[in-house]
Amino acid sequence: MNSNKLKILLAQDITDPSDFPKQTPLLRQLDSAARCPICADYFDGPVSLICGHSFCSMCIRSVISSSSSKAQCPTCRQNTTESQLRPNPAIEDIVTAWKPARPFVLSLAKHEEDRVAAVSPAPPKKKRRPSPPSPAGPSGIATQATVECPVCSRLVAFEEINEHMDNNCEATDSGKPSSKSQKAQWSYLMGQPKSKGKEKDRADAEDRLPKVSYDILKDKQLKDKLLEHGLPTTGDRAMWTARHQRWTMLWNANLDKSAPKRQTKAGILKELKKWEEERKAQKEKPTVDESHLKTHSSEFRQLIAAARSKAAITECVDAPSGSSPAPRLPSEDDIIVIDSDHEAE
Amino acid sequence: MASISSRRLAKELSEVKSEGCPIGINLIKADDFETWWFTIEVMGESLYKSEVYTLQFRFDAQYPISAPAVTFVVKDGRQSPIHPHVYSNGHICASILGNEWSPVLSVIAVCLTLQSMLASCKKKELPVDNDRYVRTAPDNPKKVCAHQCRILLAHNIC
Repeated sequence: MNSNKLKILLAQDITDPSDFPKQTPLLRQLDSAARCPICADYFDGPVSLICGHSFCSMCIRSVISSSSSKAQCPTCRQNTTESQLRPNPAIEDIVTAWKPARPFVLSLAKHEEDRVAAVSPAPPKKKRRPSPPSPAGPSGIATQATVECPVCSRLVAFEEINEHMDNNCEATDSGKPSSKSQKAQWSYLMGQPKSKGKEKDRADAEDRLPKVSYDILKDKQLKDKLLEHGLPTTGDRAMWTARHQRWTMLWNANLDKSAPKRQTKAGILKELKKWEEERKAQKEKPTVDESHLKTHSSEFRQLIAAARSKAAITECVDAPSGSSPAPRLPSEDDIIVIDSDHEAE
Repeated sequence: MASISSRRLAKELSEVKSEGCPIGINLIKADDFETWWFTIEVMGESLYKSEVYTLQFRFDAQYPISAPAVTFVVKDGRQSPIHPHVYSNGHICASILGNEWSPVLSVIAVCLTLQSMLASCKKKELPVDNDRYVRTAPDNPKKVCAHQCRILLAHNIC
């Protein structure tokens, strides 16, 4: 039923290392080295883990947030956490250069393949240069060259670097609030949140969003968190949590890209909206086999009962024997809710 | 379906089509990005010599973050291999299809793992608790509840 969709998708310009002819295995290797092993696409905001393996920021964040127990590196299974992610600008630069250069290299490789096929028995001729490179040839790249300022280590266009340094690293960068007030610098050093000023431009304020323990927030607080970033507050509490989680992920992944590649806040909002729509479409398909839940309800009940009795024991142990009685121990009801949630998953 | 899973599957499929499968594995049908079928045969000397089995892969929108649901087809005269990790309903008990799935694995990587799982088998026998499992198992092996897995682990089957 989906074969039409399939044809459309396959016909789409989805590039793959196997586009390169078999005779050029190293070019294939190069092409696959520039790709994330999770999505098989070119690295988008590449980050490295402590073991050295690299992935797109969004890909690895999705893996970490979806793993139920301890997250592991998908390649080597070394334990990892979100805080270990480090942007890898070297890979990003390689991808930036390789992507536009690829069609040209590919055409060269194919040309060579045709030539070899055509004149295979003949004595080796000197390689001939194929027709002029595609518009995205090397000359196209050179014009956008940027250099890192040796003073403030910001990326500045090559032509502007002198002017930039003459002005004490100020103001040549378009649109960026460059000079920080002393107070802001101090609060940055002390790890305090900068006054954000709710700027709606480029999302390049270097604040990553911290993880939130959603369970301890009241509905109102959770709503405020969404409103703080200008996110919609439609749907139920579960929806708000999922939305805020996704927003945090998108926001932080965006910061793993180098500044010129980052999206604006509006762009991230758009992506969030797209994600919600996809999620909604999926939800329409049932994910839990209801009949299975029904036929095994007795087993589930047993398990819940077992967990309950265990919880009761730990409660007794944990109950403080000191002077003041505990304000309120978690009631059995709370525990059951958590349990049944687990079973439904 | 989320675009990431489709794009990734499209790449895998185009690679299969342009490069072909490893020896002993053949793509029979892949009309969409939800279900694919492969045949799998163990090459060389093994207990399963010259036996051909059919594998079914089902993908959800979270692929490759979440594992594909992989089973041997036991319909229309097709049989699942008799193996201590393969239930007679076609479900496969392999760590990489459960907890140890990693998104860097691919459909072909799974096929190869299963091929070597069959090749290294010493004795053709059903899993210890085959009857009990088959009686209660849902259609999709990924929906086997966590507690069933624990039982399996307790029996040292996984």
